[in-house]
Amino acid sequence: MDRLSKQKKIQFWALTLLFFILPVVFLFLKSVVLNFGFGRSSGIDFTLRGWETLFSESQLIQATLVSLGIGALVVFLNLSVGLLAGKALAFYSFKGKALIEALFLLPLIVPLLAIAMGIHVAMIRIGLSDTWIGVVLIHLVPTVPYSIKMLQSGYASIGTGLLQQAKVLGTNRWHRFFSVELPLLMPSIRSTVFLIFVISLSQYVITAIIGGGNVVTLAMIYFPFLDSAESTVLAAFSAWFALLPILFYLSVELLLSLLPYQNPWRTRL
Amino acid sequence: MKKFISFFLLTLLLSACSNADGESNSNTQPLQDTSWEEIEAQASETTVRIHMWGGDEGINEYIDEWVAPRLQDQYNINLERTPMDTGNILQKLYSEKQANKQDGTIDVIWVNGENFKNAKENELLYGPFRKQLPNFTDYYEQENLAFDYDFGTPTEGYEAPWGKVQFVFLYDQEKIEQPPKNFEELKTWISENPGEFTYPNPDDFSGNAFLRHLLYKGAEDTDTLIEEPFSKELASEAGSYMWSYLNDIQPDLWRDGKHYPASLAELDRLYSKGEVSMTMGYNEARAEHMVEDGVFPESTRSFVLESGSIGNTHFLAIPYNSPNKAGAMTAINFLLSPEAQVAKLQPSYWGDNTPISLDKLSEEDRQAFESLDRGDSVLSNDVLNKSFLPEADAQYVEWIKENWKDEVIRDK
Amino acid sequence: MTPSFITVEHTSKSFNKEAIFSNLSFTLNKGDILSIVGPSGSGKTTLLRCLAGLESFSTGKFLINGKNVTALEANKRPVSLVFQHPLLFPHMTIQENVAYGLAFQRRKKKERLRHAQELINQVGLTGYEKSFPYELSGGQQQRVSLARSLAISPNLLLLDEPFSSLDVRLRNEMRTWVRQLLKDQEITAIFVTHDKEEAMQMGDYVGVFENGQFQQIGEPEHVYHSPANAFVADFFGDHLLVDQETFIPVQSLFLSRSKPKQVGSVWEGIMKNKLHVHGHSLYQVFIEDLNQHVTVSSSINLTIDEPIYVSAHPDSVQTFTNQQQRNG
Repeated sequence: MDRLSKQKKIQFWALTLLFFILPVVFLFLKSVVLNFGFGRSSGIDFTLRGWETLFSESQLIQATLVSLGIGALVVFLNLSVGLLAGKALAFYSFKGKALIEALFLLPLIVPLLAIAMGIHVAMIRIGLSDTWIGVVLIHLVPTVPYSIKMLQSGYASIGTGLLQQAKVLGTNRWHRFFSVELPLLMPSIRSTVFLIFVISLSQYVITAIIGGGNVVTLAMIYFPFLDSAESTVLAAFSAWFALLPILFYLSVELLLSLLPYQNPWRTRL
Repeated sequence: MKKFISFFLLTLLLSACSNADGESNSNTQPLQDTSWEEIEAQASETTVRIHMWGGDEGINEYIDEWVAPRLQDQYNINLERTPMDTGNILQKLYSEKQANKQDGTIDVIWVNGENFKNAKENELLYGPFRKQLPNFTDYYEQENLAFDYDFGTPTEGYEAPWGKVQFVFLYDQEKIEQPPKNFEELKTWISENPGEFTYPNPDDFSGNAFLRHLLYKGAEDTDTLIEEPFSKELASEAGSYMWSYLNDIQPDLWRDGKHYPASLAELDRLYSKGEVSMTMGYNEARAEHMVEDGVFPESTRSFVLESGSIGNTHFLAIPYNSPNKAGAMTAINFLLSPEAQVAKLQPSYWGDNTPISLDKLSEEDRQAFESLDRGDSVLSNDVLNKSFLPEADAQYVEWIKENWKDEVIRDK
Repeated sequence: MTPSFITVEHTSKSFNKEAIFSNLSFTLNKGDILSIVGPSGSGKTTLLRCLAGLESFSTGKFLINGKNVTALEANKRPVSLVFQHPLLFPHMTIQENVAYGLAFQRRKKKERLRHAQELINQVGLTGYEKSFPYELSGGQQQRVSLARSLAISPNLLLLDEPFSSLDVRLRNEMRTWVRQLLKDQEITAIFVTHDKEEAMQMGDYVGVFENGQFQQIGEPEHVYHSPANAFVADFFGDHLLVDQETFIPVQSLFLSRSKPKQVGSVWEGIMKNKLHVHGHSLYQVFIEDLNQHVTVSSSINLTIDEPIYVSAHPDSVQTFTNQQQRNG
């Protein structure tokens, strides 16, 4: 048993190293080394130009904060919608359920740009275009289908039994939600938070159209630089871009640890 | 599926149109009859929002660090730059037009070519305003094809010339002593140095421009091709030379011509790593920046072919629903001034060429332009002017995109 | 007539117009244990879920200690349900699990934990307070589940086949032990099972449930020996059903190779299977005329598929109790 788990641990770290840590290290290296690559005869030149360019971008900090704020709100709305709809889809059977499920996935099938263009006109009329609220709402389109699906399967894996058991024991809806549903949904919630934040962060076109340039997110500054041949600048931007979801994830993790029945040193599910 | 989507969009658009009210806002009155003094007075203490492509640090810094503080000092205008692709800007304006939104959020945009054509056809621009700009009337040629036509579309005063660029090839002096003089020499060089040349596929702006040079070369009469509107007959007649040239060089291209860079940035990276010995670009001064940043080797130089090099003018325009048209006009006027144009020409900022008429400048101003060293990699104004070829109808761009795959890739 | 502690009056339940059970009534006194036994699909689990409040009765009344609780939600009823599976909260310790239902009782935390500890001790799991459910065996988990349900001191405890996921030996131990615990604490309970032995062992009363109806409710022995109708006789007792009105208890049957002459009822049968229980040989015999299998003890040595006569004395033929009532 012990040897097996040790072996698994080694496997885990090897894979983590290969697929997560190495690329990030590589990105950082690339951001400070000129012409990083193979087949170069001359030595390696170090430069801080990539990072200088990054921080000389006048709107960087502002845009980073805007991205964080919008991302946080999008994640929160996603969790609210996803938890409600996911629970309903997992536990209740009703007429037209299959149709509803298919409809929930539709935004992923119809091209996002087409949706954004259609919604834009509507948003102009009700005054939501060019506002951050409008941007948050449009970010829900490519994200909500994922959170509904993920939280639906999260609820399905808990099953009705535990929740009925909790109800029979006399606890009210809110207490059940915080003491049983949330802690047991934690794996699904973690992946939802991370995925949704990353999707929201990397929305460029729809942010540009609905935000109309009034809402400048990090993607709007970062994406034009993808055309740049200066690999250090690109790498520095990418590293900064990758840092955000990690920071966000860590702060959400801190928040979640405040929930009841979190035994970080004991729980092994 | 496509049908469904367009139907879906149509429904949305229609529903939007039917509900939009037709009222127009009072602060969007046209300024055609207003005096320039009055316009500048209106512009004072306002914010002007310029939306423009933001993928070049030199351009961004020029706007943020050079232009913005001076506009603040001299005209009391607060300039806000927002990075946004021109296509997205037009998309936004188009939707706003559909919804009949009269108070927009953009005051100045940077356009040319097909984007301008789209914008003009859909009435997304305010104008005409060019003749009202004192700096334009004072320092620029009033009758000039390069200002009156933008890729074949009449500008009619809806945009003001901001800069001009010309297509050049870039090469590494240490690897190539004498660059080719014409397409035949280029072909010879390619076959003698297999794997060291390639071009971005024509979906890319620069790759397409490279092919247009071959199209011009293949035309019986280049002037006809440039001046007349697009015709399929002219295109296929001129194209036969282009396709056979491309097929001839294909086996000797980088990776045996089995793969083409998807963008100029990709080609630049190949050049920067030394995998290929030439790159190109629709900006005669672009190498300066790259050399300075250490991306390109210092031995990078540029050349043009005897058959000429295509150049174009890029412009500034005002959206139809700009909330601050007086401010926009004041800002554009400033950007056209000799002072701003000299600064733009500085290789440390942007290095973009000026469309200004040097003859119309004061001695002092002209001196400033002429004494400016654009850098070792930039060809002299003489060479550039002599080889300048204007752009033909923008539909040739599409025609090349559509046919390249059939003629070059499939034809193996 | 003193009012009963638990009263269920004319209740019914139907899904999409299909009746699961209808017009069901029974009463229990405090401390009584009622076993409800019936084949699967008979609706007994639905009845339990209705009593717990997880489903609502379509019609009828449910009173506990004189108070009408029919309209109350599951979490407001003084009723607790132990499910077939332990359903422990995997992210909580045993102590947290047992104390879970106490969160809404107005007691100090210390007091609640002390109460939970008491119950853990009662179910014999002292020392496991800080363990997590996955560290316990199936039987231990079910005991925690029981302790958790008892912790909220319910007026009525419902148990839905709580031992069915345990192995046979553990199941027998648990039955005795749980019954003793319930009796010691004078807990009123309803115990649902499909196993008639379990039903007899656990309940003060046994209700045989089929087709949405109690076919018979009574003390286990009475139901066993005097079935009300053919279904009860077949499902609950060991009887040979002669026709819709009469039956013969198996202990009155005997086997012979030749056809007996003095007895009234004789059937031809075929020996299908042989069992050994407590030193006796039991034969499973198929009687074609009655289309029934019957298990009879005998000392003759038979081989499989051998034809045999099954006979009984005429005075051992009995009439179902509901027929007696109707006739008498």
